[in-house]
Amino acid sequence: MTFEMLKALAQAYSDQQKRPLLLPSKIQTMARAYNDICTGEDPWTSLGNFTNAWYGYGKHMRSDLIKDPLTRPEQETEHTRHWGAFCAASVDYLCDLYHQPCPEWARDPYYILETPWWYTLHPENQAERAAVQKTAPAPFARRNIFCTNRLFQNKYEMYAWIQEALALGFTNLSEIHTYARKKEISLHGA
Amino acid sequence: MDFFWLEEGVFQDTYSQETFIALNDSLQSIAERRTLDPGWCNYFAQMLMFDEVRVPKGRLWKRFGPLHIYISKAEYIRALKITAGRRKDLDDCAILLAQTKIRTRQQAQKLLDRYILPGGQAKNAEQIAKALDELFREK
Repeated sequence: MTFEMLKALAQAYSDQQKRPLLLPSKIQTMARAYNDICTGEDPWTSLGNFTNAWYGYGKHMRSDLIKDPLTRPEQETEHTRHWGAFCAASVDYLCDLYHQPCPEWARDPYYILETPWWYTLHPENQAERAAVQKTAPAPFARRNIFCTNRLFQNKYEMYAWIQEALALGFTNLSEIHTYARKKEISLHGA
Repeated sequence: MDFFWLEEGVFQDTYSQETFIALNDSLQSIAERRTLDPGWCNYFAQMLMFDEVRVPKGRLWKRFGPLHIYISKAEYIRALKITAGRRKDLDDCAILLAQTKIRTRQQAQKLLDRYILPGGQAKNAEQIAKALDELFREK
């Protein structure tokens, strides 16, 4: 890829951002994401849809995306308990990161798991437990969820940081990428 | 849906702006008609990995006039997911790698070497190491 191509793409992205905002008929709030999870949707598909709203089309209405409490399913299972806690932790984490007031419901102790959830591929492995104990962001660890800190890294912010690097006059592709990665690490910690 | 541009000609000054306006209008019209998320089609993906990957030749899927769409190799997607190393990517990798003959860290490293350039591996070294640690740890 040439520098000119990157510049043209960045310009096209900037132009696209200036177009009148188009909201989907169904806005993916966290409450909706959790409901989708409880009705069988893959958790990361539901959370991915929420992430698109948070960082993309619904960026201007973030408080609306998180204000509604999660609706608990009639029959709680380990899966719904885990993901309820994960959704609450995500809201707490994102509010802290982007300076939004955290809604009351997300701080409900109901979302603190009684036993730790080692959210890794090999939860019985002690080395893996030790690794995620170190990396889990505080809002997750507080709720007894131990997982990686690579959760909400996203393309939207990377595009913005690349544009920032271009605006600062960077012309070396590798330096532009390094600039954006450093920004990502400084915000998300990984 | 993410796509990579295979020809740089589309970015020539003479018609790039026109191309992008037409493309955005089309994507918006499809989103409205099919009630899709406004970001359903992402054509900026190259911005994220412009100097890090070797894009393999894909399989031609459809032609719409001058627009030819190729589907990328599954193993290339696996390499990208290991490199991204987010929680959701690792969950996907656990499923995707089980469908291949890749059983060891060394075999996964060979896959990375095929598609992720040395500079890309160096820049993402920490997350790649963590991903491989988790994917190939003894149970």
